[in-house]
Amino acid sequence: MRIDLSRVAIIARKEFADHLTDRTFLLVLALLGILTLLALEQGLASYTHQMEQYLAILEMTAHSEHLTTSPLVSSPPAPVLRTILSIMGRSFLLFSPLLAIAVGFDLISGERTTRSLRTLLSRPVYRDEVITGKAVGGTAVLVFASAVPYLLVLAGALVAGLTVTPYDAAIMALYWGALVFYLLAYFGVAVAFSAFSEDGGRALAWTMAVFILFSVIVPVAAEDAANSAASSYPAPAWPGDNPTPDEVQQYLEERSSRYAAYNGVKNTILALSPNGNYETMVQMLTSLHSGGGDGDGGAVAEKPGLEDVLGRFWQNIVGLVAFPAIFLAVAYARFMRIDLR
Amino acid sequence: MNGDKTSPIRNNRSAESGLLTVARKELTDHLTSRTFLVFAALLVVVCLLPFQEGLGGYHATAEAYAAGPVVHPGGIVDEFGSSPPSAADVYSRLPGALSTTGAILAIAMGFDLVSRERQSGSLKLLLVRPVFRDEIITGKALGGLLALATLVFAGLAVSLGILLVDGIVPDTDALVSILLFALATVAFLAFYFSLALTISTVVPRTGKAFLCALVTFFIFTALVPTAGAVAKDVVVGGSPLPGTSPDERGDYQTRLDLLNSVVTAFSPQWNYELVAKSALEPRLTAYQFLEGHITHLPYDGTAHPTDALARFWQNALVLFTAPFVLFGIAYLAFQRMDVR
Repeated sequence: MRIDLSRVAIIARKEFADHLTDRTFLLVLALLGILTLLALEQGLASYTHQMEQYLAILEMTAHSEHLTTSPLVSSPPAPVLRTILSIMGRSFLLFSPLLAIAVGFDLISGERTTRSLRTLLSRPVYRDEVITGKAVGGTAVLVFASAVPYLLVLAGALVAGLTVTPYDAAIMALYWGALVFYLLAYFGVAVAFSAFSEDGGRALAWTMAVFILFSVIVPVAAEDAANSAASSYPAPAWPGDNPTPDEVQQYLEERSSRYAAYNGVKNTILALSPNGNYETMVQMLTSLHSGGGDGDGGAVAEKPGLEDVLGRFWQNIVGLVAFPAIFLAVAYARFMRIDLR
Repeated sequence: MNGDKTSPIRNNRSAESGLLTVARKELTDHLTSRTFLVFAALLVVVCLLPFQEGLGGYHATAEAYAAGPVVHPGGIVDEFGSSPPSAADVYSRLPGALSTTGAILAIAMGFDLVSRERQSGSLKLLLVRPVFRDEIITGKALGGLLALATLVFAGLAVSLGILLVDGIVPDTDALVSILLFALATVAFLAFYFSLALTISTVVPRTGKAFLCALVTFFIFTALVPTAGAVAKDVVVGGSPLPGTSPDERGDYQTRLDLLNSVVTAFSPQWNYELVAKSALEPRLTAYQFLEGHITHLPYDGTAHPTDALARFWQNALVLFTAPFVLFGIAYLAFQRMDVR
């Protein structure tokens, strides 16, 4: 059998163009852009302010001998890009899924409501090509749209006169990649519900229910489960006033095994949710970036390489890839069997 | 006028019964709808943990109070445990927890009220019945409001039951506080419900209507607080550097307070949180969301449940009137709608 992708490409191209000219999609994208600009402004302002305060403190301590600088106050502010990117990561955690949902929720149900699906399927095109083309088009538009905020940040940083090192750019690309996977997860959910529901509103309502489940309830449940798992390891008591080294050692071991149980359970549950995965990745990237900054209190950490980064992320990447894959597969199966009358 | 004379009784009767019929049908529709039940279940799950924490906090405070005040060396009295706990404190974590899920629940209830009837063509059939247009939209709003109130007050009844089982008996002041908190919650949910209803009247397709409502929600939740944080940098400036005069500090504080109150009034979530917290905690004097500062009066046993609400009457006014304004827009749009 010869694989002919031209029809898939036609549908994907049409979907891509449709989404890019859709007013609601553009509105959501514009909102994300505004959010990015606000994060940029916030990051730059807080950097300037911290720098002023740092200089003022330096000046004060320089004039009087009896004041000694504590390292807490006198460290220069963290690199700006890191602040901006972590602010963006936090606000995107809650609001970027709207973009993916806006792209996905009407893919199939919209065509059913307006009855154009029947017309479409009476054309010489296979059913699976329709759904594949739609998924590919939606994915392409999300990849494109999620690059917009990061390009804005890059442009803003260059205009503000910040030096963007290749390392910074690589970190930014990783942030972007994490966002793409996160968007795809909710795109998958939206498409799956769109295939099951006859009208777009219902599909959107169910997608939002899933979103609440993963963004609000799963983190709380993970915390709860982790607490109960840790409670099987009783909190060790500090061994008296004059502990022997052995007692201290035992205390530390008991404490670390308790923490290991807690973190293990929590991370396992969070790895099932796209929000948890995305949050973990953003946090890791933020801490990574601080190591790459110039002059963090003098202690410049080793810049980790790409393999190292991917090695730390693989669990989350698997989680973030598997999630949309499952939902898209469900959508595919459902679409193939859909009864159109 | 002449037309009224011919059948005044029939007109009046139909005006009332039409409204009630629509409202009753909408209420049962909501309460049996699967979407509503799923979101209500999610809302309950979201509220469970904060409520449980509130119970734990109540018992901890009660124990500390029973043990007597802790005086640190230097005559500083520990604030924790210096005053008896109030049953209203148990609820104090709920406003922050339920605002997002509650808003989406309210949107999910309202987004298809008019748009689905238009999409499926049932609106035309409905309007050929002997029922006035305004009765339909008012009945729909009333039915949704009743469904929201039912949900909130059912939750309130269950939570009061749990309080009693747990051995916490709320006094009259606490009961009034909790009741005011419930009313504020209904008003907050009604805001997003009216918003969704308005959008549903304006946007003909259900999916688009839901999406537009979500975008508005997004603007209120994400954009207003972030814009407020930026405005803090731009309008108010950075916090005064060490060594500035007290005058400048006072000036800075005034500007900051003004900005805080403006941003809070424009963010429904924050506004609701402020009103709900002030209903639950009469000693609240300031809640600055941009910095996350909360200021209380010292405990002296003289605070009445509505004290803090009186202090934040503007916010309470905004919270309770905004749904009506939105309903007014929906009403106008529905009256002028072209149904073909």
